[in-house]
Amino acid sequence: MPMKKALLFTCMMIFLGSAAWSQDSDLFSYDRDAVTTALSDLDEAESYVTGHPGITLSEIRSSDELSGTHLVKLSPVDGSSLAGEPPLGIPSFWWGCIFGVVGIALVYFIAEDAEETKKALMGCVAWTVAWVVFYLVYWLVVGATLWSYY
Amino acid sequence: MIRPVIFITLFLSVAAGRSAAQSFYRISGDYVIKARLADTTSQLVMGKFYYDRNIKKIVYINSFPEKETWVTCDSSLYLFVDGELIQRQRVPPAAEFTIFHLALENQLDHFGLKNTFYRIEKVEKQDDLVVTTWAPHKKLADLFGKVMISNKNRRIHGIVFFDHEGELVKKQFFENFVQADGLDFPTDVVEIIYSEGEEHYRKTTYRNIRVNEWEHENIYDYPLPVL
Repeated sequence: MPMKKALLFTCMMIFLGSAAWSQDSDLFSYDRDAVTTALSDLDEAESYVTGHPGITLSEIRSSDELSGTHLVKLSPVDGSSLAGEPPLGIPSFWWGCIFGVVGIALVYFIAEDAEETKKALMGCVAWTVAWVVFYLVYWLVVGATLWSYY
Repeated sequence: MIRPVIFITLFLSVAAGRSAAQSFYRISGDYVIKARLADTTSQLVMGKFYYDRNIKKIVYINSFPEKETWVTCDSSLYLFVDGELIQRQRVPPAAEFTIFHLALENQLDHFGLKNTFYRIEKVEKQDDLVVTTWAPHKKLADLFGKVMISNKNRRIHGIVFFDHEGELVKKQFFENFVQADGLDFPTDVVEIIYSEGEEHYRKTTYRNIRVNEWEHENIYDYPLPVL
């Protein structure tokens, strides 16, 4: 009986493990056909614009010849779409994500965690000391070499 | 005997310094954005982009839908038409988290999450992917969600964004990498945005990538009004 339970438990763990695995794997895939289909009109629009260098959306909208085509349904670019949701790769959730001394202040004010703040400060100090030591040694060696020639 | 050793050491250190100084600092190219958005509208944007990681201005010179120049600098976004400032608005100061900056800094593999309030929670191998789960600092967990990043062959493959409640918000995939003067850069970025149970798509294609070019100085450092 304990053997059966162990076997059942093992099977269950394998099943759950593979289910979790496939769920995570799915996260890093997407339906390419759905994307291609959804953007197919825009592929045609790109071909049209490429074939008519210099043409703008205003000119397309004022053209009788193009009225009724999907080209006139295109939207203009607005600043919020450029800077907010990232058509150009700018993630909007990055507000306040900053480094260095300001980063220490961020940890202090937001995290309110003395230990974390101390670590951030020590990191900043250690980095500065390392660079100062490196440059001192570097220029001492350069100086010594030049001195030996005179 | 000691002199050759010192000379070799000096030579190597100077060479290392020069090599660091000669790293990637500028990128430009053509881009096309195709987007099918949540409100059933669609967008097509075509133009050129310019970015210098020291100047930190992103300059987009659009040829379509209108001939416009958009410039982001610090927390401002400027719109110019025919060289005239039409509009200025406040935006998140996020130049250092754009694909341009991260590629130049060779930080695309972790999307710049190192040195932020995000910490690595888990790293696991899934077939040919290495998946890293990043979690925000515990005090910020009510505001920010987890981020999962997958790498394939040491290149970024995809990012999955969750909100603070664990809901899937967005997936982003980086595809068709090219080597532009030694810089690895994805020419296709596909985004799937999840909103109210629906999927919306955006695809950005980059072409004619140029790295560390000397021309177009006035564009990389686009003159902005002192306000």
